[in-house]
Amino acid sequence: MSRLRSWPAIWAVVGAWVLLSFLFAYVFPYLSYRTGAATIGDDDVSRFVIGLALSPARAPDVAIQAMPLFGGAMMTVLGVLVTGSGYSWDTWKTVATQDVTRRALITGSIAAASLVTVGLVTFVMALSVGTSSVIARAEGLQTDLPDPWTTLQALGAGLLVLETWLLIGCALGVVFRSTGLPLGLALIWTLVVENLLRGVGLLLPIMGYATDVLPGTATGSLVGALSRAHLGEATPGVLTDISEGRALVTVVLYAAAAASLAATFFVRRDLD
Amino acid sequence: MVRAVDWSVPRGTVCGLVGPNGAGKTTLLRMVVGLVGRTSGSVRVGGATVVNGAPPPRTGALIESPGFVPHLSGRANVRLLAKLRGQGDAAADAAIARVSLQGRANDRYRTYSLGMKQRLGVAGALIGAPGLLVLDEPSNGLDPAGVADMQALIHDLARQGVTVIVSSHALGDVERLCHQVAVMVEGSLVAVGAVADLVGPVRTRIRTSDHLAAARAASVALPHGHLTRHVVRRDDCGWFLDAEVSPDLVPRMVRALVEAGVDVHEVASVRRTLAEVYETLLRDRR
Repeated sequence: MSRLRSWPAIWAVVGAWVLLSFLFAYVFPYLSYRTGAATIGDDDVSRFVIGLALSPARAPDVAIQAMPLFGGAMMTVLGVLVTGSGYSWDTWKTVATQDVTRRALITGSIAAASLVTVGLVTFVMALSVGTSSVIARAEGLQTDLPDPWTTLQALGAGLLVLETWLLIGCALGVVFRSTGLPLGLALIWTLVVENLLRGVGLLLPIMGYATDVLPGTATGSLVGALSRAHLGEATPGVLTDISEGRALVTVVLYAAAAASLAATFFVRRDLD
Repeated sequence: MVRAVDWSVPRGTVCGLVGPNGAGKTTLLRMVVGLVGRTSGSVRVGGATVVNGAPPPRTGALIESPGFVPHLSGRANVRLLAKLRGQGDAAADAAIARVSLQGRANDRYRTYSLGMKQRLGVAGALIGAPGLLVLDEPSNGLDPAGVADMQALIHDLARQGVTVIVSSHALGDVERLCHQVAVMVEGSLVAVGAVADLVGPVRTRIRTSDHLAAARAASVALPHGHLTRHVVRRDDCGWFLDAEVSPDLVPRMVRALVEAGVDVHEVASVRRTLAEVYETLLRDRR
């Protein structure tokens, strides 16, 4: 954990995502709300919708909407850095000769990164509730706090989504034994390829079946199922392609598969 | 690739592993510390078989180049390793002091010179008082004073009963430092033994005016039982008789040669170096 805590790259990745999430979830919508710059449909309706999304009751939904796509990309980067850097810096070789099993090493590293994920999701949720409360008070919007069950559901879904992408990143770092190539591949996949494939899926039904099992579809649909902020359709990455239950199962399977892949490759392969 | 290796390293000795680039030295050392798996054969450390992918107990290693987290200080890095071994910060600080890196221990690892990184690598290997220390090119990047410090450290560890395996291309250092040497060529150990056995006994070189005089010296000395394994040879400086002579017999032999009228220009004790032995081994392999 101390390796991650004092690592500038980790703070940069986490900080960038929190900042982007905050800007797109609250700053820009609030400016739009204040200036009436929204031009979608009737202005009053548009203001009403934005105001609803800015209310504290919707904060949990809003907080997790950026997680499937941008949050996922960031967490994949984090995962690749956590495991891949050990190969780039030769640190795996150093620690693997210290009377500790490789299984313990990879488990510890993933656990430390997962703690970062827990902290991040909790912080984003708290930031979301806090910011929306301040806005609601300032603008005379409804100040009711979100109900605990909704908040817990959103926390759980957000954690599951980010953890899955983190584990995928960890697996890629171990499989490629570096950071550069898996980082590039992960970013292109999460931000570009999956969206392109879903586009193709609209034209070719068979591709539609295939895209339904992609991690982006599963995480997006999980968040989409929970999202009741009425901005869901406008948020990139938030989908309604598969049911909540199927999305949940697929996400859990991806997380388990990625963790197993990372552990197996790390334990079985030579450290040379 | 490592193929034919049968090597027992006695406890508490310093053993050198030498060989040309690509001979398999580093791979062999990686196998010893469990970083690289074997397809056959076994490695035993302190009586316990090394399992592929698991480090043997009480073993410290610096394999090839040191690897540390660049954004952490040297001290923080070694303390992390100490934690993995269940040791406290004091053990880490002691290891850092042992390699004389206290002055820069709080600097970030990325600011270290090659020699400092190497010292830190050795400090990491010393955590937990290892019974076996495996060092691959430990003097790499060290200045002359650093090399001397490293050798003193290894001597010290051996005196304390630590078994040290050192891989190095600096054959002079290996000869000075090690009790035993293994020469590896193309994945196989081609020679293993005590340094003294490999380099052979001290020989006496009696330089004469010409080859006839050298041959005469041999014929004079032989009946007295002064020489064994003698040969008349020539180098850039002229002819000489090269022989194994017991040191206490040398004065008597020289007196006998002079009394017999042999022109003795020089008498010198010479010993083959490990480098010469190594070159001979490689030449024979070719």
